[in-house]
Amino acid sequence: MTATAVAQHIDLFRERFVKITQEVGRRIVGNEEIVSSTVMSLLAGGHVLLEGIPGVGKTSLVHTLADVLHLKFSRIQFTPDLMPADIVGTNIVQEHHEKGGTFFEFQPGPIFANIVLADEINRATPKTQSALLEAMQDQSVSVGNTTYKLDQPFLVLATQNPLEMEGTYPLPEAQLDRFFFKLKVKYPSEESMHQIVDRTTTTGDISVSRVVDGAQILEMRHVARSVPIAKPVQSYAIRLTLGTHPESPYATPLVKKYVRYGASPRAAQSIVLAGKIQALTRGHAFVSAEDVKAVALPALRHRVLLNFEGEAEQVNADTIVEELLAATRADG
Amino acid sequence: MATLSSETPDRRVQDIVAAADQQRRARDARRLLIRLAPLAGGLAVLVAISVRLLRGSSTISLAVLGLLAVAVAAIVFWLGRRRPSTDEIALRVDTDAQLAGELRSAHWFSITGSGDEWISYHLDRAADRAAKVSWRELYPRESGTPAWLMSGVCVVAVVALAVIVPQRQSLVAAGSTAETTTLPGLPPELQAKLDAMLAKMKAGTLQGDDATLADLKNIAKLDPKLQKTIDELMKNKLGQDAQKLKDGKPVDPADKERPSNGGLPEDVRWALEDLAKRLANSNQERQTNDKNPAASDQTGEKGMGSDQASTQQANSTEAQMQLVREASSDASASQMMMGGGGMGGQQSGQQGNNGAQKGAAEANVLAIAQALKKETVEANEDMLGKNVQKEDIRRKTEASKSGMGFTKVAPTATFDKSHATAPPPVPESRRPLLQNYFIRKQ
Repeated sequence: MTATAVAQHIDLFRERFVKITQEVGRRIVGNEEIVSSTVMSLLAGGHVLLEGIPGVGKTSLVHTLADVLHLKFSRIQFTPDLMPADIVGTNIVQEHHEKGGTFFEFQPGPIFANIVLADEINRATPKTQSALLEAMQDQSVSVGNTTYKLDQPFLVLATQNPLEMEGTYPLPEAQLDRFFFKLKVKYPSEESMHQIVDRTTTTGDISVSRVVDGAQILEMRHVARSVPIAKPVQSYAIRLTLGTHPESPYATPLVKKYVRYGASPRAAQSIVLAGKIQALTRGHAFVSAEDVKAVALPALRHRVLLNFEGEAEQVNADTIVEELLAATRADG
Repeated sequence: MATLSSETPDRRVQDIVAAADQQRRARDARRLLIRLAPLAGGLAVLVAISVRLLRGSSTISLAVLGLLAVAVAAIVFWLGRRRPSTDEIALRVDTDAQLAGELRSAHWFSITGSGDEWISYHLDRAADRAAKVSWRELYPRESGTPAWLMSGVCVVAVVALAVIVPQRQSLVAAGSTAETTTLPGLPPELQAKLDAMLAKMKAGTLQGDDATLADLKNIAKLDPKLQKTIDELMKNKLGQDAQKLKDGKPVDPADKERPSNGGLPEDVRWALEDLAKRLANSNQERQTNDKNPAASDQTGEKGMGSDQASTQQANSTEAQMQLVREASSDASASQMMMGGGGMGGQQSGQQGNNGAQKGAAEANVLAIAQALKKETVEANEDMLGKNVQKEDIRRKTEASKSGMGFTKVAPTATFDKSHATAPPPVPESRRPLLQNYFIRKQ
């Protein structure tokens, strides 16, 4: 690969990324940061946990993304009686019409798609949740004695409602750690509300076109991983991760006071990979400390586990991570 | 800027970072220099003024000025020197040039090295981008004209205080002395000589022999006012020397060249002069009684030889008196004069036919004079704790008289485990939080 080829890869990556976000933005009003972060997770091969109150467009975002990416989309509405087989699929008895007799045939579940929307994931039982999370981690599912590989790209977008906690099963920390990003969908602004109302209460059809397909997504993933990162910048990402641990020398006062466990090494992987994609979206062939800083909050916020004092005082994990970002120097 | 296209990208990046860092530090060094130069100049002026007020040597001011200039130059050179680039330097330069971390990242890859195409592309692009930055504009040099002007004024002031003012002072001093010490009936050439010597004495630069001082004293006897002035000057000189000896500082070497008896107490000096006169008289009487037979025997020209011998003896006596006076002031001078005295003795012995006896007498005189001089010098240099042993006065300890005592007071027990109370109930406001803790939120 020559320098010209590298430059072309960067330009193409950037062009496609902008196309995706612009196309999604035609239907989703506001939340540009959420859209770009979701696409970033898709390009990094990670999964996203979307948190927001009902009606802010979480499900619409996932729908739109699937339409734009020309990928197979499925939706699973998580309920307390949802079973693992309802997600991964099951072996069903079939009859041989010609030969006669019966045989077992695997009926794939909704997990066999490129983009899976796990709506209100915390309403299902831990057993069902773990079936999904196993697929997220291994990119494959096991039914009986057979393991089935999932199609690539595979992206799970799980949503959860932070208000209605009655009868829910909060995700365990180990399973939360498997999400690349946790994105908080904010309530739209007044101006955005005007646009939402205008678009959804008129006869106009807001259709989106498919700008990128699965193969191009995989190619973009490969390009993203080619971006070099200098050791001092990587060290910054690692120090940010270590800083979430209360016993770490990089820990801030808030971390020491309110955090029980800090982020796992997966967090550092997420930060670096997301930093590379962030650099490419800016047309850079390198990762800077600013790129790392820009992606650190969604990569760390769900990996910081508060202690009793933090829970009792309802400390926000975002506050802790933001303090950590402000306190950690890029040149340390 | 070092942006040679023939260089490899990694070399280019390193050179750019190093050059940019040098520019930055040169700017900082110049800023520091602009701040330090007036301060150093002001300090030099203060030193020069202090030296003038304390009547010190003008070379001190110039030396201090030179030292300050050298120190400032050394600091500036040290700060502005080119040094190998590090990641920290690259980050700072990158931040200043707003290169969004590209130069820092490229600098790291340029040091570690890699054949990856992405890294090569990154290095190329970073070097090109950094080469477009005008580092001179980014790190502009301040003119600092007011500071330079102030520093220049300070330097001029120091030089003026060190060179010009002392000359004027000596001229003014000479003029004022001439006005105040006019003696009635004194010849004009003698008056001028007197004025010049007084001016030198006041300036502390009088370098003369005893004859000069004797002249001065003889002239001073003509006028009580002048006598008082000379006595005060002599006392000041003695006081300064005594203070220097007390402080453990060596007396200014230049002082040794000043009036030979200037550093001695009056009574010692008189005693020395008196002794020298007596010795000279006794020697002269002895020579007169012998009628100088050796001279007539050896030369065969009695009258002539006798006259020459007596003239030589007179000269020798004068020389001996001079030797005694000089010997009383300084050891080195004494040694030198001893040699001169010996030669004088030999000459007179050859010419005056009385060499052996006269040589012995002169040796006695010199030995006594040297011994006296040594005694005087040692007495003058007696320093407590240096060459004078003093009985130690031990401080009496007051330990046995101390009335202080220590009493251990046992703390009273304030806690009884058997009466421990239950912890306070959970406040109602915290109760929901405690309950919610077990229903974990995401």
